[in-house]
Amino acid sequence: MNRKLVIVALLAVLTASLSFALVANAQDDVTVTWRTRPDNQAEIDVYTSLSDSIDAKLDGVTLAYQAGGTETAGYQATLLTELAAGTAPDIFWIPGTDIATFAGEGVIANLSAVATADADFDASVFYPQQINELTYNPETGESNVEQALWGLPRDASSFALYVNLDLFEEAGIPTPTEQLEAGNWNWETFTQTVKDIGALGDDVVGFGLNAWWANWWLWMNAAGGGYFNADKTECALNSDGTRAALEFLVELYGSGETVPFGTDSEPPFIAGNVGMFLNGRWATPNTAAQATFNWDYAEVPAGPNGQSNWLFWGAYVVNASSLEDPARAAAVWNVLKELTSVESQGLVTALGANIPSRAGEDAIAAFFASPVSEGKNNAAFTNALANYAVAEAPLWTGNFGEYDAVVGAEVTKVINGELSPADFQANICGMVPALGM
Amino acid sequence: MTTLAYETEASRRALEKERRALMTQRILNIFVYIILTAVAYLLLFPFLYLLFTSLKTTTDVFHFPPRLLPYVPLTTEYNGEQVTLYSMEVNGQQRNMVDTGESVRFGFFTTEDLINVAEPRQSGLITQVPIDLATDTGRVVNVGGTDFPVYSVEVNGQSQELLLAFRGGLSRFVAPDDPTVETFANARTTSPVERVEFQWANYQSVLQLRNLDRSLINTALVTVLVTAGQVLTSLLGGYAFSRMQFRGRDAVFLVYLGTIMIPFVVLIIPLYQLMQVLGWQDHLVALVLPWIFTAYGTFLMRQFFITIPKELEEAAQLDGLSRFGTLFRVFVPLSGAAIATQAIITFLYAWNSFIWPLVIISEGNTPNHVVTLTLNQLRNAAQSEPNLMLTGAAVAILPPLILFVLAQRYFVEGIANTGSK
Amino acid sequence: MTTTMQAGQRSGIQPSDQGMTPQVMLVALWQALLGVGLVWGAIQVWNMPEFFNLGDVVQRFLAVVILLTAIAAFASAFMVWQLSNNGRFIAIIMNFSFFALSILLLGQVLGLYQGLDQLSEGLWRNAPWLLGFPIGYALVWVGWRFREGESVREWLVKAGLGVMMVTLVILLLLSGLPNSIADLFRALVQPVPLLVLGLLIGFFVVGTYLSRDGARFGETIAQRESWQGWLFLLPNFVNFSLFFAIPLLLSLYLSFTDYNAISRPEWVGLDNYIGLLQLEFHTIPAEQASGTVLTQGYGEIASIGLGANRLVIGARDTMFWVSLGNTFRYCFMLLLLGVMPALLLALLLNTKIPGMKFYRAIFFLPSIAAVVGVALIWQWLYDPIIGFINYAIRFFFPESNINWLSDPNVMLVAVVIMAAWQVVGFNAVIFLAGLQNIPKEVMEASTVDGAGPITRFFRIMMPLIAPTTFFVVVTTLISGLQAFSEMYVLLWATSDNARLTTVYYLYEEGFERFQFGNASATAWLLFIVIFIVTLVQFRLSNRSSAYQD
Repeated sequence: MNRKLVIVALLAVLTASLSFALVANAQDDVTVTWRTRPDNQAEIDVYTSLSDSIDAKLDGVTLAYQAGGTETAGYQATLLTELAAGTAPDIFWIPGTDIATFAGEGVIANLSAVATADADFDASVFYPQQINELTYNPETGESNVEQALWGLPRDASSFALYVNLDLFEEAGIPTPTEQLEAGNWNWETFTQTVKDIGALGDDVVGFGLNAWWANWWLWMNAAGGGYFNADKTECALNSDGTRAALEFLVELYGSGETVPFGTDSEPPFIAGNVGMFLNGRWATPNTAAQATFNWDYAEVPAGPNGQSNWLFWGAYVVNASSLEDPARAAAVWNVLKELTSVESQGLVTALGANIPSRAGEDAIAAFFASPVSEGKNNAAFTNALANYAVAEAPLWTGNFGEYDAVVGAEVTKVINGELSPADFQANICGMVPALGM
Repeated sequence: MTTLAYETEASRRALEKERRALMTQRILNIFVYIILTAVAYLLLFPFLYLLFTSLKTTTDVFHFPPRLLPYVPLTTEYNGEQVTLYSMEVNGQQRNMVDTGESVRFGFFTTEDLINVAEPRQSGLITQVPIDLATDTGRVVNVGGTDFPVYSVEVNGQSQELLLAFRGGLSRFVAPDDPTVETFANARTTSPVERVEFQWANYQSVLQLRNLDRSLINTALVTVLVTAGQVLTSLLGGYAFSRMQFRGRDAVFLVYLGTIMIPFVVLIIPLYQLMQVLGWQDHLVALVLPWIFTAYGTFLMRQFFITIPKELEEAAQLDGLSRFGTLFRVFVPLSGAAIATQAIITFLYAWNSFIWPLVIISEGNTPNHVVTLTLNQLRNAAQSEPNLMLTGAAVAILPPLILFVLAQRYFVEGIANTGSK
Repeated sequence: MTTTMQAGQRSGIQPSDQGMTPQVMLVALWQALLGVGLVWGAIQVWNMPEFFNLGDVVQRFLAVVILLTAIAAFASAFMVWQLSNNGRFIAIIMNFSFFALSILLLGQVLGLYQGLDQLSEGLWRNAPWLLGFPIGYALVWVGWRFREGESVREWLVKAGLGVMMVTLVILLLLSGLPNSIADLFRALVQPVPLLVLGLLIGFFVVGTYLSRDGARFGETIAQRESWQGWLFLLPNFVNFSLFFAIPLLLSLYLSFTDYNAISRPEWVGLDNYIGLLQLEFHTIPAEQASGTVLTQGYGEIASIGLGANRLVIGARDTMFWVSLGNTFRYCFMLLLLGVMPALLLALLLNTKIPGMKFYRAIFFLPSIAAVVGVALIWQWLYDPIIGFINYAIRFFFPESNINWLSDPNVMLVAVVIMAAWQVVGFNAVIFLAGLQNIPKEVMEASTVDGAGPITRFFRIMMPLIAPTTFFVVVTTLISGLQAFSEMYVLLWATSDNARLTTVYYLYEEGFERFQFGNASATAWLLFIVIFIVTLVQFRLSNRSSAYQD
């Protein structure tokens, strides 16, 4: 009698707790995981707080932020294997160059349907260069949101010269910005400036850059050359513009007034020994924290073909498997929009390493008002983005990594004096892997 | 008598010869010592550089020309701020000055015969005055194809017409105790007053802020487990190969020997896949379990066990010891040196390994980093802070160094023995 | 010797040890069930829709291996039934192997291995307590300084060990061991772990029973030693199979596939090897650009002048060939700078002067440091402006300025100097041991014979230390052929192909461009190179040591 009662009571408790657990489970939030490649702990902290604030803002969604590695190669290798194993996060950041590879393998989702169904969404708030690439449909070769949307851009950056103003003061020559305002900032005045700064001492040089593709491609573009033709179906490295840029770089590096090609230019710049250092916005936090001299940004000089620059960007993309469940798909889309909102970008750009990917006034104003931007010529970046920067594009018609591995090695040979620009022009397009669909 | 004289003569000559030989030997020894000491200094220099640079400030590392000891500039209070003291000559006497931060554009003037056309900054100078105090005559003089403007400048109270070699900004320095004493100089090339000071805080900084403390513990744990595992499996395997007859033994041994030649890189990609399948990627276990097996260690242990007399083993078995007992009661106590050598080789290998952790532990997963990975990350993130980079390197190198000091004999002799076998 | 003598003998047979018993039947049944289970497993593997993205071939191969094991299990079941000792032998090895595998598997299903991370974190949180180990060790060390039998010694050693034990217990408690045990217990009470645990116990019981019941199967001592030998080898062999043999086979397979980590490996036959090795030869007028004759995608790797013409050698994978060339150049220079000076140092150290051990220790020091750490030091020593190396050179050549890490002509030399610095003392110590092994009498006899120091060195010393030289050269070469970390850390900022060694190329190909198939093929080509180099060295050393006979 008693025993039966106990059993019944126990069963009742069990059923109750079980059903409660089931109910609780049903009410559980959708957990959306996302990941970026932060550069340092400060960025990890900001992304974490961003994640928490979006989590609080969106009902029914729990956000979990994962900090990826700081080095490109390791970051992507991890992502690829996780995608293969099915353990990759829902939303992750990848560099613009990799969009084509990831989309080609079918591992990132085409958000076109979700985006066109969302009346609140407007792609035109971002820089057109980026959206053009993000909405590219490799099958039709057209770019519009109705056909494709591979993700939303996290940020943008162009290249600028980081200028050591003290050295210019010491040399008694006008700064790049002063020369630009005088309408006199071109390859000739640039070369002369490099020489003038280099003359200040044995341990002082005029210019430095870090040896990877954008750093030579930029000059090629300014001379009317480049890696590819306009629709990226053919090699354009054999153009005269490319050759002119290489000849310019050979002469510049031959002067001995530069940081040796292939040496990291950041340490000598921060030590105060380099007049102008070419880099993207991401070099700002380090410079701001460590430079003990007066410094500012300046625009890159105009080449024979006018001013040119690169628009660097990366995008938040969505794991293809996250769209399978409609509830999850909606949650992921909302998170994605929040991650690229004006407020989110303001939070991230306040750290100094990023520039908003939104071209609108509100985003730019927030960027200019952030403490790290104060008193600096930030327009050196935004002018380039708005006016003449071309997007760092994914290569839809080939493997960018393999293509660039060949080009990079040959360009390096040219600048190091092992190969003449003429031989480069004659042979390079035969050496690179063939392009085309 | 004569014989005695002869003998003394002979012994004297022998003595003389011996003494001369001794002298030669001594001179030779001194020579050898000098060379050995020079080589030792050369080999130790990078470590000295490491030690001293790890104790520098970032600015000090970039000091040109380079120097070994860490210096910091002396500061003083000026206008309510701590500013650097510079030592410079003012009105013929050496004084400590401070930089006011005001910059004045100067003209540097000289005559036609003192000017260096190719490098105007290297010209011999007559005077330097603020450019505003000089008056442009409007005329130019052409020297060697370059035009130099002619200015009217006051030199020692007299107006003089001189060529402007170049312009440049100079900072105004004043004496902190007497602001009326002023001079103009280039702040970049003026040497501050400095004293030697060691930045021990660098160590605290890399340990706590750069994740090195965590990775040290990870590495220690991984290294201890791998070393213990390898020694154990090698003991068992070496014993089986050397002292037991069993079907397939020689075939397996040959396969083992063959694997010693296979470079690790052959395994990287499939092992990476395997870790993925097992779900060990990004976990410390991926640095431990795959490394418990070692063909080389098994081989070394077998070579050592072969030299142990059979009689010992038979006696042990007559005493009723099992195979296991024989190995651990008889063989292991006899092979202290061999085990120590293997443990040390494994320790160094595990502690210093880089390519496998680089592949299997992702960059972002800092809690599971080992020291080599943290160093690699420091190299990426702290390029402009070489002092911190080298502090990290010093911390990573220290544990093997301590082990070396404690167990120098096993290191050197053990490795010498493996080579001569 | 002893074993062959005893081979014919049988251990003492008791009547109760003979004949069939229920236990033996149970064992036979167990083996048969094991066979059934393995067949089921093989079918499961064969039918899996996705096999970890590794492709059909691997899947089929694994299924077949499991099936073969199943056949062995059935065979052993039958043979055990027949009281055949061979069947027993198979069953013992099989049960203990499965026992070892079950232990590994149990750890896996319990998530024990990932727990290592938590352990490390626990240690990190309670890092101050780790000091207990050095303190304990110091006590033991001090204790050992006392003479044997003294009570102080005993006391100190015990105290030291005690301190370490207490530290360990405290650390484990603080690191959350009680919680972990509770978690472990909770994880264990799940169907899968329980099943694995059951199997584990089963394997152990059956294996132990069979190993004890040798007499029933007419086991000879040699036969007993046979399974005992395997059991001793087992931990070693299981690890070898799992983490060496299997990956090795997989690597060989992948080298014949096109595989980019996301999509499945696609069999392409020898394409990867052909792609890496394919060359083109063209003779063209000297002034003509090679691009005009080479096929699209080919690059010039060498050009040989032939009067007015030149022979252009083009490669499909230029970077592979460049990396191979760099690797050889690197090895050659490393032999020059890392082995020859080592021999000279060893000769100096061999003069038996006091203090030799001190110098030997200092010379050895660089070899114990991690390459990554060492490269960080050298990166700054090599700095063109603030580095000490250029500073020293400028003393003698004021105008010189060598860009050690960015000038393609010297960057490899820079790496070699660093590597030689690390390895020279190490090699010297090995040479020294070789020199010290030369019997005194030999050297004295040669001195009496009037041989000069140079003759003595080349005619007597060199042949006598030939095996040591062989060892040093081969180890230096093998490590040189696999050089990667040095370049990766020292030459990261440059984009010049002069930084590429074969392993560096492999790393970039695999983990930056995700061409896993191609990277595997590169690894195997490198293996072939190492194999040939070692073989050639072996032949050469055999010939040179033949002189001494």
